Amino acid sequence: MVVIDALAIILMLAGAAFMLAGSIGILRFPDVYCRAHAATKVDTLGIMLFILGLAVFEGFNLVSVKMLLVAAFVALTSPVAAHALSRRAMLHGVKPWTRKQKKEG
Amino acid sequence: MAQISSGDRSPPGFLVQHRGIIIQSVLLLALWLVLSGRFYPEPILYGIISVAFVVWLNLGVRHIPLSSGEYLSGHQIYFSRLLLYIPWLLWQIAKSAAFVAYLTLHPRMPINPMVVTFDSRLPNPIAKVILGNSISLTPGTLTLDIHKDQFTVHAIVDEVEEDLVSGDMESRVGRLYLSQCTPQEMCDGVCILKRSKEIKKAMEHQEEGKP
Repeated sequence: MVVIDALAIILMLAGAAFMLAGSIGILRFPDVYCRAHAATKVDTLGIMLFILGLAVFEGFNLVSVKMLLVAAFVALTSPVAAHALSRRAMLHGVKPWTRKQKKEG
Repeated sequence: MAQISSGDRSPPGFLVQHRGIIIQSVLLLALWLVLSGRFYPEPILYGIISVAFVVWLNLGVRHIPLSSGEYLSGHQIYFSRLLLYIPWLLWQIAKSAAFVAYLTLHPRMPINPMVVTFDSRLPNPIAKVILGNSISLTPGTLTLDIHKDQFTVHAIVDEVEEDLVSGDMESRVGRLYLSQCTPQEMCDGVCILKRSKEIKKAMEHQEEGKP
């Protein structure tokens, strides 16, 4: 039991760390596209690790299977959400931030 | 739209012909059982009735054309290859999250964003959706738009763009539907836009293409 608890705690801490990194990324990155990068990838892995940790803690039963379903749906939907956001931004003419532009200007 | 011949296949039997419906019913019934959590005959009977109704409603969907005039029907996915593709995608998610987290926490934030456009020769709309989702989940790239065969992708640093234009992922997705394909033939018309003027021009071009 101690091993399983330790594994669950490690997974949840890693998930929380990734969520924190994703939130910092949303604040630090310069434009909407880079922020979508941070929000999609880092947060997806964060949520998946967190849910996996909860499922390990719970053991194998109906509740943990439902949690794994939630993880799968998050992995499916978050790239779609990021694509929808960034595509709308592109169609409305939001220019991507570039490093070259900064040097020239 | 460039079609690549999908190789010789034996005439489909009953199981192969209705494979989509069978897989759909099994998955839906499994979802019903997991969500209800009661394994008595009565809830299972209700589940079977609901699954049959949903599958019946979905029968016609494959024969309705998309806005681009393409159809969803007539393509068979290699199920065994899909099962191999999913673990690879999970590994890519882990790698990309670690990569973007590293970029975020790096004190000088070494990013150099650019927009890459390329033409893909994937055979059908679902393959394009899979590729678009996979691009968004792999390190440092984000699908901005898919218009006909042209993908517009935002890449966050220089190195990831080489992986993207090598066509490795396209051939992986292509192999889900085609018996064989190589990275070289899947991806062409690559255009890398680093300057803001070029990106703006490409965007105006995209807007003209819209109805």
